[in-house]
Order: sequence, then C-alpha cells, then structure tokens
Amino acid sequence: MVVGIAAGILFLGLAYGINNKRMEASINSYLSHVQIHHKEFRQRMESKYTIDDLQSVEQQLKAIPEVKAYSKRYVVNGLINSPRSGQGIIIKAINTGTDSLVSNLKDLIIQGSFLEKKRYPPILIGEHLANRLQVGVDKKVTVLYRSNDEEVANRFKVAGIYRSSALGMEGSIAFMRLEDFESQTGMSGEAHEIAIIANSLETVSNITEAIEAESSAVESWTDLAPELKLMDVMMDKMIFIIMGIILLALSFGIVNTMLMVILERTRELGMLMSVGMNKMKIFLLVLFETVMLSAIGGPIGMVLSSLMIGYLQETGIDLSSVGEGLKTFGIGSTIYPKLLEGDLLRIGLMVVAIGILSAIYPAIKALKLNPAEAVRAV
Amino acid sequence: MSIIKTQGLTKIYKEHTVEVRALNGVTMDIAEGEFTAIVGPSGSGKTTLLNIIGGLDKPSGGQVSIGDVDITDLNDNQLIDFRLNNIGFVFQAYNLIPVLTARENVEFIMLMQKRPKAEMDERAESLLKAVGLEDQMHKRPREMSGGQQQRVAVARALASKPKFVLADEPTANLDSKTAINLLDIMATLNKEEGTIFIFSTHDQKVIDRARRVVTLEDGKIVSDVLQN
Repeated sequence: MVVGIAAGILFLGLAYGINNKRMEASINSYLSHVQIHHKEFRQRMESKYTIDDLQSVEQQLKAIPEVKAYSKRYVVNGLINSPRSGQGIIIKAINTGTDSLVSNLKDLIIQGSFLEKKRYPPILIGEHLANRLQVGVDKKVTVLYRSNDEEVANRFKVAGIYRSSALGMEGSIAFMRLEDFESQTGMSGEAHEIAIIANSLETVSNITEAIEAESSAVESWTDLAPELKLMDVMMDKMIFIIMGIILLALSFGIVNTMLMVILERTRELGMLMSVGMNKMKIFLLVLFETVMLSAIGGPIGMVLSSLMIGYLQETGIDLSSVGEGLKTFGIGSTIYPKLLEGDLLRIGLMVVAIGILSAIYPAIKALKLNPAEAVRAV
Repeated sequence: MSIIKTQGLTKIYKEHTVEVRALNGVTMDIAEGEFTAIVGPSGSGKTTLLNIIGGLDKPSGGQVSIGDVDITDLNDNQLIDFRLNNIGFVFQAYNLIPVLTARENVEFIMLMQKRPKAEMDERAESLLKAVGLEDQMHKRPREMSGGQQQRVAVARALASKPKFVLADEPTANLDSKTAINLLDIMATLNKEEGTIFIFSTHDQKVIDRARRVVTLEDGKIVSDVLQN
C-alpha cells in the first residue's frame, strides 16, 4: 500500500513535471504568456500589419501590475539559404536587451554567442535548422524576406545555434537584432509583436482582460499555441486515467489484504459472532481496520513520495538517454517532478475513500461467515 | 424446573445430493444447575445439538425453548442479542482475542453488554480468581498455557451472567490432568454461580465428572444417565 501510494504520487509529480517542462519550454523560449499583434497579423503575417496604437499599449502595459516584463519584436516570414540548402522560416527581430526579460533564448545557445554585433548582421538559428542547412557558427547565410512589399535580401553570419525542446521551434524560428531589421527595412519604432511575461500563470487572464486596444489582438499562450493547451488537457486526462488505474490496483491490494485478514481471523470473528457481537459491529470492525490500514499506509506513502519529489525537484531526473525521444514531444531531457497545491490532500482523501469502498466487500464477506463453522476454522 | 427444552429436534444437512441426518428427533430437558455431558462417537450429532441449543444453527424441524423463549422463532438479530445475554460459549480452540490480556478478554463480553466499568472490573477480577488466574490477569493468550487459556475462556463465558454455558469439546486440546482440573473448576462454578454447564466430550475421565450424561448415536439419544 505504502509503495503503491508513493509510486502513484511520484508518478503524478513526474507527469506534472513533464507537463510543466513542456509548457515552460515553449513559453520561456518564444511564446511568452501573452502576445499582442495587429488583428490581421496572425492571419496574414504581412509586414504592414504592425501594432497600431503601440504607444498607448506600452503605457497600459507599464501600468498593469501583473506584467513582469515585455519586449517588442518584428516578425516576418522569410527564406534562409546556405550554400547547401534553403528553408522557409519565421524571423523574429528582437531587442537583445528587453527580450532577455521575456525569453530564455540566451540560455538555450549551445554554440556561438547571442546576437553580438559584428561586421555582418548576426542571426541565431536552431540546431535542427543548422543541420538542415549544413552550417555552423560564423558561417554565412542569406536571408530573404518581404517588408512592406519589398524584397529584402541580406547576408547574415550565424552568431549562435540554440537548442530548444519547444515543439517545432528549432527548425522554423530564427532570431536577428531589432536594429538590423530596422536598418534593413527602414521601419522604425514599430512592432509586429509584443511578448509579455506575467508574474505567474494564474494572472495571465488579468493581463489579457486589462489591455484595451481596438485594432490589436491580445492573446494568451493558450490562444497562441492551442496545441500546447490541447496537450495540457490530454495530459490531465492521462494523469486522471493512470491515477485511476493506480487507485484501482491499490483498492485490489486493500481488498486482498483484508480478505487475508478475515481468513486468518475467521475463528476470532466466529467467536465474536457466537458470543453476540451484532452484524453492524462486525461490519464496522472490518471497515475500521481497513480505514486504519489506509490511514497508516496513506500518510507514510505520502511522506515518502513528498520527500522523493522534494529531492528530485532540486536535482531533477536526467533522462538524457531517452532525451531525443522526449524532445520530439517538446520535453527537455531533465525532468523536475512537481506537485500542485492541494494534490497531497486530494490524494489523501482519495486513499481514504478507496479504503472505505474497498472495505465493503471484505466486510460483507465477514458478515457471511457462519459462526458455528467459523469458530472451528483451522 | 427446566430451563432448556428441545422437542423433536431434527437437522438435515445436504451434501451434494445426499441428505445427512445429523439430529433425528432429539427431545430433552435441562434443568437449573445441571452439569451435563453430551457424549457419543464422532458424527453422532453432539456439536450440531450444541449449535442448535446455542442458537448458532437453525434446526430443520422441532423446537428449542430457553426459559419462555422459543429461539427457533427468533430472527438473526434477536438471536445475536439473545446469545449475548443468555448463553456463554467455551470453544475447543479457546478462541481468545490474541491482542487482549486475560482480563480484557473477560471484560470484552461485558463491554458488549454495556455494563458499568466498575462492575466489569470487579466481575472480571472475581471470575479470573475463581478460575485460579488472579496472577495471570495481565498476560496475553500467547503467554499462557492451553489450560490457562481455556480457563480464561470459561471466565469469559460466565462474564455475561448467562443462563447456561455451552462447551463444545472444551478439553479436547488439553492433557488429562489439565482437562480434569478445568472440569473441576467448571463444576465448582456450576455450584457457586448456579450456571448450567453443558459440554460435549469424548474423554472418559471428563465424562466421569459430569452429573448427567446424555449419549447420542446417529442423531438420537440412546441413553440419559444421572451420575453421582
């Protein structure tokens, strides 16, 4: 029972940890909590759809206490070419100063450096894209994109290569400096996108509700990446099903233990029934013992699993041996188990409920004993 | 005056398609203060008779009256209540609760009867003294010999102040000396407390100590003898 509960809670923590990691990977690297675009931008991805009332929006953002940081970006579709290959990409022109406040891109760099200004404009590409283009750090690439109906083609130097477990990011998103973009296109003081980080996930909706901008679309990460939300919901359902299976197994364990207890104590129960203990008391006796079994086993399992989760929260579980497979699902190779607030209490209550439910069958079995035969049981 | 009356008791067990007649018209009376042995070979119906008199089993036919109550008319819950307040049981395998001390095992029955604490303490003590276990009161069953455990069982059976005590082969697990000692204790309590004792046995030395011996064979009473 103890092992069952501990394993169940650890699994739950692991599942939340994986889920969290997957969400964080996308949110922290490019998605952020909230994004603001021109209403038409996400549909058409055309350079002319910059945020209309940028100044007013920025003023509002500064006034919302839930906004931890924000950063403006230009975003265009483009084509990246190396001498060996070419690929369609999304180019994000970022302010290297403020973007670090809303994204952990800097930490994801595995080779080279973060968009340092050099003779050629620097570009940051994902490992997957680098492999496809067969380029490394300091190699030159040509990037072609449209800005306000004009083709812009420039040579860039690969300043760095990043690795991210966020789904699809490595193969499709490249980053350049905002000032390079402005000098190449002649645009200035505009933005296609404002990425916002909230104080916490729970306050995201406060931000989306607080911003008033008629011609802009204010969207939270769940609107921006519905697949993340979908996976979140799927994960929740999976956790629910697997916890159900674990609790069912736990219930079988309890039923089995209590049936063994009844078998071992048939003579004692027979004696109690013979001398005049009524059926309700026999029922309650078995029920009480089962609840006690859950009440003792449950907390021990919970304490054990909390200790394990507490420890693993610090150290993480390194799954780099299967890391590549996990990356496909948008999960990093080190998992940090996590429990939500109130999870332990919920599990505790579920264990007690399972304990009580599981007691019913053994208790009925005990009631069906024939006292005359039970007192002579071997 | 008769306390227990059985009238034409029959009990038929079905084993697959074969009917086994364990009791075949047993009629007997047991009066106040009796110390009676039910004897007979294996399969003669001793245990079945005790089970039916004790309300643990229902007869296929006939009646059992205890005092004014026909227990064959009682439902399960009434029977449980009746057993608690009127019948004491001593089992062959002692059947004490292993986690309770001798004293707690005796008090346990009175606890079910919801007797006052002071009365429970006093009666448990006096009964354990009467069975010669005043210095073993705080021992658990596993710390006691078989004979001592059975003496606790006798004290427990008497704790509820029953009209009679049924003891099915109470000495079967004891050596002769211990068995006779137990019978002597039961006989003394029978005299002092006036409680009826009915016990089944094979043991001739035990049979010799009974004042009445009822012999069963094939579910029928074949002899009913008073001894000195």
